[in-house]
Amino acid sequence: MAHGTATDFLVRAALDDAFRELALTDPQRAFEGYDLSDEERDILCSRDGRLLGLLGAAVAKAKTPIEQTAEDDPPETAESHFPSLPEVNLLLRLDPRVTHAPDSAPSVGYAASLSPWPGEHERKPPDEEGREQAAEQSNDAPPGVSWIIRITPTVVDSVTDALPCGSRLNKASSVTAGLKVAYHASIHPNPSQTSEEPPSAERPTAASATSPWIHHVESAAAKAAAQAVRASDADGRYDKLLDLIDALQTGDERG
Amino acid sequence: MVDITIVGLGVLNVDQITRETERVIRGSNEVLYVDTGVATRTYLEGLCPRATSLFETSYEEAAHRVNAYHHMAARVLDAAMDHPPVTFAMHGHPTVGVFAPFLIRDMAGLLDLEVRVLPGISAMDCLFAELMIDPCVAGMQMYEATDLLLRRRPLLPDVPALIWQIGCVETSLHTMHVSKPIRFERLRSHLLRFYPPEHEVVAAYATPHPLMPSTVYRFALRDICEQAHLLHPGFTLFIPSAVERPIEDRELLHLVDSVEHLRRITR
Repeated sequence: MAHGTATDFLVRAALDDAFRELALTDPQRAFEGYDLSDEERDILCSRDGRLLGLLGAAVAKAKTPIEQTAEDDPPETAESHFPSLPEVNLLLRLDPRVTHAPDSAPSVGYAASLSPWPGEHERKPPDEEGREQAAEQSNDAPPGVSWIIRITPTVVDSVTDALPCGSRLNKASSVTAGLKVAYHASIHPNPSQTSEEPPSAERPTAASATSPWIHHVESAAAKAAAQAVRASDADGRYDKLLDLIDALQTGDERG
Repeated sequence: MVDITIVGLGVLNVDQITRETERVIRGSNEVLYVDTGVATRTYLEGLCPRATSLFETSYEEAAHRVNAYHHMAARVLDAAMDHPPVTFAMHGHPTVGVFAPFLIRDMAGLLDLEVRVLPGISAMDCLFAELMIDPCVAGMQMYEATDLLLRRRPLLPDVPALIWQIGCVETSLHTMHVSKPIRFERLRSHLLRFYPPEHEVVAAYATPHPLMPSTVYRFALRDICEQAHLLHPGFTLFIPSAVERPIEDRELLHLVDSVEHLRRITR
């Protein structure tokens, strides 16, 4: 005779009307065929608040192998057997320059520069960086602005080469000749110019939305993100859908 | 064809699923659900070839609940684009105290997918039955607990009040930890602006299983902090009206039983 658990008992009581009635009217008979501890029997007889703990334990045990696998192996780390590559941060700086020619209106040009993002120990305090930028500019030019460009490489596949003929190794063997890498780029405000913390490598939260229900469905960013979803393949669609969510909540284009 | 149907599974595990909802799930290629009922998986697997729980992969301790909702929405849309039609099934009613369905609706609009929403039984319906409440008698004001405090919403003491999710008050982060009394101090102070300290309130939790009765705690408003260890995230607070608003339009009062008045206002 199969011996069911407390979880089995609760599931059957939820789905089987006749068994439920038996559990309510004659629990001792209902317990037959179930391997229950004295405490579990007491709880199922008294049906007091402790039953909630039994239900919680049942839900915790109810994870299937597929769900456990999904929890341990989220989509973004599916290729975990490949090495992780460091991300690259660049500082994009745009400084306006005002030039005054005789007998003509002032003209504005821009000096753009791209440099490695300084590490934490090399970064200057915001006030000092602002003073330096102001000193470099003419007195009547608006202040320059800068952004962080973050490039995140992801290894998506390996490239293999067959071994040359006559090799002492098995002819069917091959060696890894290189890695196929995909890049994701995004641009963020320079935290030195704002009061915010530097952006983390985690997905940014939709801080600009005052309510989760304010969705910028008419924004160009949302429409572009939707187009990207439609153009994506099955493997990349989940990430593109998350990008669409960002666009809906912030109205900004990502990457 | 409807690509995504959003449904509610009710509160009392599988017993409160409507026939309409059951029919839709049977006709879906996949049902993705957020419901921790002990028999939910078994029941849904009997209706649909593919039943996928999103709860375990969505929520993380101390993480922002919005991240979970984003994950749910992305999974549902992903499935709908791959093998429609699909059903997204939530505990309770699918538009009460939720965010993912609204996100799905807006995303689906941009992706030219059709969405339909079916009603489900919510904790409010269970509470009306449990406490024998008729919201038509004196009305009903209802707020989510943290929103009530953030906006310092005023309450009318002559209108019964329903405060949702008191067990989750003061945080938008997911947790399974028991509350401390301090968690309810701000709520108590706010409520004491409108009700006397001895006013009896009711904290109710609709049962998720037919073997377990619903949980109802009655206590004076001033003692709410002392109930902290009992008030888990499933509780709703019902505040009966403290005073009765008198009738002011005596003329209308006389007219409501008048056949002549009825003839005058109808064709």
